[in-house]
Formats: sequence, structure tokens, C-alpha cells
Amino acid sequence: MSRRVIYLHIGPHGTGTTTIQKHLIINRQMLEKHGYTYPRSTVSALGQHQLVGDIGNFYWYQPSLGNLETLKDEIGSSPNNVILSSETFADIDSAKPLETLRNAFCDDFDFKIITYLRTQEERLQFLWNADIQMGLSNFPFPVWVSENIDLIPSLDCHKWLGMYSDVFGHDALRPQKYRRRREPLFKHFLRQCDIHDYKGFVPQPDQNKSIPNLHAEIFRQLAMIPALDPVKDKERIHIIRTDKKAQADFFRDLHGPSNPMQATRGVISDFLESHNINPSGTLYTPALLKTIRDRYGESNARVSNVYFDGKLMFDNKTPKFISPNVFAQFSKTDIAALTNQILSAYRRANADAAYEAAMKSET
Amino acid sequence: MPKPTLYIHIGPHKTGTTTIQQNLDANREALAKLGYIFPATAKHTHGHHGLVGELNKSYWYIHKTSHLQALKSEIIGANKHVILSSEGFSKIEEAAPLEKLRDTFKAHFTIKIIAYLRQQDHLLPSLWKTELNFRTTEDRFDIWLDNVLKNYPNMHYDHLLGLYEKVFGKKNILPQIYIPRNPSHFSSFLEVCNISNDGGFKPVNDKNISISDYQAKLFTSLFRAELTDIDKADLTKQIESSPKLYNVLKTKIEEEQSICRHINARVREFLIRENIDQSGSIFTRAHLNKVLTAYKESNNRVSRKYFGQDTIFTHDPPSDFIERNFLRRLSKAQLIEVCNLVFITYRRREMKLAESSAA
Repeated sequence: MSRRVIYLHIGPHGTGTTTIQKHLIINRQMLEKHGYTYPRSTVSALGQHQLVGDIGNFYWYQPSLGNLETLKDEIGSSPNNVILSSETFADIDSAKPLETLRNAFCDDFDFKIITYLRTQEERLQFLWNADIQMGLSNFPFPVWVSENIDLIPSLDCHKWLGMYSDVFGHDALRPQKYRRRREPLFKHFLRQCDIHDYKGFVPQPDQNKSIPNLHAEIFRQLAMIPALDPVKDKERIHIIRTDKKAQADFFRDLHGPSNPMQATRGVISDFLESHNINPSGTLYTPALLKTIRDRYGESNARVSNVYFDGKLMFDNKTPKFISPNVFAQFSKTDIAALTNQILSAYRRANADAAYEAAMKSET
Repeated sequence: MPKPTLYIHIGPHKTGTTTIQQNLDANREALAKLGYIFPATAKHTHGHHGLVGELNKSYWYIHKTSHLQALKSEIIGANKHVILSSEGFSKIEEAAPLEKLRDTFKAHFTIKIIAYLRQQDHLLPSLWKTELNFRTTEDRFDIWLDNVLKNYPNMHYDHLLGLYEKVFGKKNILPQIYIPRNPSHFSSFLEVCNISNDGGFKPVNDKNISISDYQAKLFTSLFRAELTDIDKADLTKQIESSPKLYNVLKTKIEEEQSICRHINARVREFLIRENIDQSGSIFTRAHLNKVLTAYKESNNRVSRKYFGQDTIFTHDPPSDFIERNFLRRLSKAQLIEVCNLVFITYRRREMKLAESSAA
């Protein structure tokens, strides 16, 4: 049997991973026709996150959903190439888990590493936005950045890619710029996997789940527990990470009406729309933005030289800054009315959930 | 041997009923020694609200067993005076439920009706705030008031007393004037029941915390469901047809009552801490005039008929009103803080209640 290829899509977060994984799931049969497998083992949500949970020994790992061995069993019995996708690869901060992965498959497979690189400033904003939505943090964006920036290994692209390069070899890496393209993202992704015939693949809508930053900031200020005590906030996250029950409750609430952000999402959008406010923009201050660009400038320049023939990887455009005083443009009556609408929507969602649960138990 | 007396204390709301009921409940043994029963059956919290619900066929009473039967078993044949108390009695608007009560007990008791009368312009804001707390309304005061003026005939005291008079006879109606913050309110109630409070009763203080009109106005601007009349009618219909839904709603309302109490306690602390001016009445001048006009004739008739004088209410009506732009008393930062406070108190309480119900 000739050597096969594992196309390892390593994210990171906020670079269209959900969209790509959704396409991979829906198009499994089509991929099979092209001689590719998107394995079922270790999949949670849409990607092979549990594989990363296993090799990286992460707190959220759920052994019942599979591990490295079950994945080996699944793909070992097929002649196909394999696509693995998980943005949580970006959370791995040492070579050891990657070596474990390589060593498990290197007898039969070559590796190709696919990643989409996005500016650090955008990624930080995206990750803050996601944390706000999930209730994982309540910090103002600048505070969140200072608390988290050292915990995200993939931000230093040169160092991060270097880790993969050391384990899988420089030629295995296929980094791409994350940007809006004319062609669908999945079509571009398939090309990185050496599939050039897009015909027959079923397109999926864009899975972008982020909300405008202004929206998230309004929600944070009106409806989240104030971030007065970073220690307590960390304790809460620590409990979610270590207590199985708290974890289960958290993930259940995340997608249910008890997640206030989900329940009230439409209210804030409608409010902004009714006030003719374009919610786009960034919560950076010019000074913070400069700090971030300075911090990663050298790393980005190296990546440009090594992987993009010296062409500038990111062009540092000036974004639209949102004033930190997000309520300046609204009257007090508007703010009170918005609070009332947010609460009403949340209360209604909770009441509906209680009603549905009761009706379900009746039947 | 003369029949014992059944005293029925009908409230209404906001006339010291909680104080009376809590004291009666806590002094049941002392009452028994004096030959009085404050029945344990048909009681909910401290008053006999379940009995009223049954008599009045209230939606919140449906799907339950009979309190009236239990009450009969408890008090008939005991040869003791009995005190029943529920402000819900003053909400009964038809003679039939009262006739049922009378016919059940008239052979065994002389029935006396005790009602406390309070000047409506003082009572109504207080009643609205209580209803907000109990989640029986989420309406703004002006909307709620228009509804009361239109649909609550018993707020006309001649109508309320007339209904009881029709069923129980004028000589058995014992109307009293309510004096706010009267420390001997319970003792004067006992006197109406021919009981002398000679120190044998242990006093219970009402722990209800009242909130200012300003706080209530602020609270309703932030915490009010936009339910239409159609929504409300739909819900009532569904509740009547489904015991399951009734239970869900009952639990939800009880949870929200608890949550609202917490929210109001936090907001109250905030307003005091930030030294926010909370003065003023919730009335607008126009609405106050409407109220004074609406009840004037009725109050005069009651004064003459039951008290033999031209007027019984002597308090001045409010003269300081909360301005239309009431939010201007808060800075924007304070407003955002209070909005946040309301939401997170709601969320924290809701999470806590969910946890305890899961446990």
C-alpha cells in the first residue's frame, strides 16, 4: 500500500474552522468518493477535538468519545487519505503531544499541516467576543487581553509554526492567509488537501457565530457580572475546568435558553438597527492596537519571509475604533428600555424552557 | 347559650393585614386560651387565602381539594370564637361565594365582618408596589391605575361594604379606619374581636421592606414584561385547561417573587448608597385628581352611613410628584450600574433556584 496523507487542519480559533468542519461532516460521502476519510472517532461538536484532548491531556477531554487508539483503528482499515480538523490544536503549547500524534501514524502516513493565519489583533478580538458569548469571561476587552495574551500559543505565528515544523518538517506546512475570498472557503480548503474538483460538494452557509463587538460590549456592561475581581473570575473558570458536573452544566447552559447572550441576541441587534447604528468596529484603543502590532511584528515578518516569499503577510490597516463609552450615543430612556427588553427576552426564554420541560415530562 | 362569633377580616390589601395575620398566627395558643381559634386549615402563609380561592373559584385555586370542608371540621362544634383573615375577601365581587360561606356557618356562628378602610390616594400606590412584588402585575402605575379605576369596583368602599351588608346584614359590618404605621394596630384589631391585649400576646413585627415610589418606578422601567391583554387572556385560558401548566406557572411566579424581592433589596441598597433622591409620589397630578374624584362620593356615603360624620379620611393627598424624566436623578454611569445590578441579581437568583430545585 502506498503511503497515505493525513491533512491536519489545526485552526486556529476564529479562522473559519466551524464552516470548514460543517462542510466536512455534510460531505463525508463525497470525500470518500475522492478517496478521503473524515473520521467519526474523537469527533465532538464538528471536529476531532477529543483527539487533541487525548494527546494534549486537556481538562475537557471526554474518553467516551474516542482517543488516539480508536482513531487508529478507524483509519487503519481504509486505504484513504485522512482529514483531521480541530482548532484546539492551537491550544497545544509543546512538541510532545504532536510527536505522539506523528509517531502513531508515521509508519503509514505523511502529514500535511493546514492552517489559516489571521492577524493577532483580529484573533484577540474574536476570542474575547467568544468568551463573552459563552460567559467564560466578563472582562473589558483591554483587561481580557492583558489576562490572556500569554496563554494563547498560536498568536506568535513564527514560534507556533516552528513547533509544527520541528515535528512534521518544514515542507509539511501549508499556512494560508485568512481573508475574505471570492471563492468559498471550503473550496480553498479542499485545494489545500489536494482535491481540485469541487463539483458535487454540498455548500453550507457561513457558520460565523461571532457578534459585532459593540453588541458584545453592550451586553457585557448591561447584563454580565462585573469584572471587579479577576481572581473570582478565574476561580469560576477553574471550577468549570475541573469539576465534571459544573462542566456538564456549563456546556448544557451554553446552548440553552439559560445562556442569556443567546436568549437576548436579537434584542440588542434590533436595538442597534432601530438606532441606525453600524455595530462594526474594534474595541482596541489606538495605544493597545499599537502594542499588539509591535509585539508580533517581528514574528509576522519572519513568517512572511519563511512561508510567503517575503510578501507582507498582514497589512496593518487602521480599523474603525469603537469608543469605550458605548452608551454615550444613547439616552437614559433608551438604556432603560433596552435593559427591560433584554430581561424580558431572557425571562421569556426561561419560562418557555420550563414550560417545554413540563410538557415533555407530561408526555 | 349564645352562638360563638366568626370574625371575618376581609382586609383589604395594604391596611396592615400582614401584621394582623402574622400576629394571629404566632399567638394561636394565647388565642385558644381566650376561647378563640385562628384556624390552621385553609391557610396559606399567614392568612386564609386558600379558602378565598376556593369560594371565588380563582384560577390559582383550581385543581385543589376543598379547604371549606376542612375548615368545617376544624371549627364547627368546637364552641369557640373563630377569626378568619384574608385580604382576598375584599376582592370577591359577587354575593354567591359569600352566601356560600354564610350558609355554611350561620347555624353555628354569628358572623361579623371586619374591614379596614384607607384613603385610596394613599392605598393605591402602595397596593401597586405590592402587586409588583408578587408579580400579579408588571404594568406601569398609570396603566395599572386606569385598570383599577375601571375594573375594581370594591375600591369604592360603599360597594365593598354594600356587598357584605347585603349578605351578612348592616349590623354585622364593623368597618375600621386604617391608621398607617400605628404601633397598636394589632391590639386595636383584637379589641374589635372583643379581646383585650393585656400582654399575653407576643408581638411579631412585619418584616416587609417597603420601597419608595421612585424605586418602584425605576424598577418597572427595567423589569416589565410586555404582555398584551391577548397574551394574558390566552395564558389564563391555558392555565385553566392544564394543571401541568398551572404548576409550571405557579412555580415560575413563586421564583420570580423571590427574585423580585432580591432585586428590590439590592436596588434599594444601591439608591441609598448612591444617595439618590427618592422623594415624590408615583401619581401624576392628573391621575391623582382622577382618583380623588372617582372615590369622593363613595367615601362620603360610607362616612355618613357607618361613622355618622361627613368625612373619615383626613390625610392630605400627595403634593410632590416624581418628574416625567425621572431617570435624570441618576447619572448615566449609575443607570448602567443599576441596569447591570437588576440583570445579574435576576440571573444569580435564577441560577440558585435552578440549583436548589435540581438538588
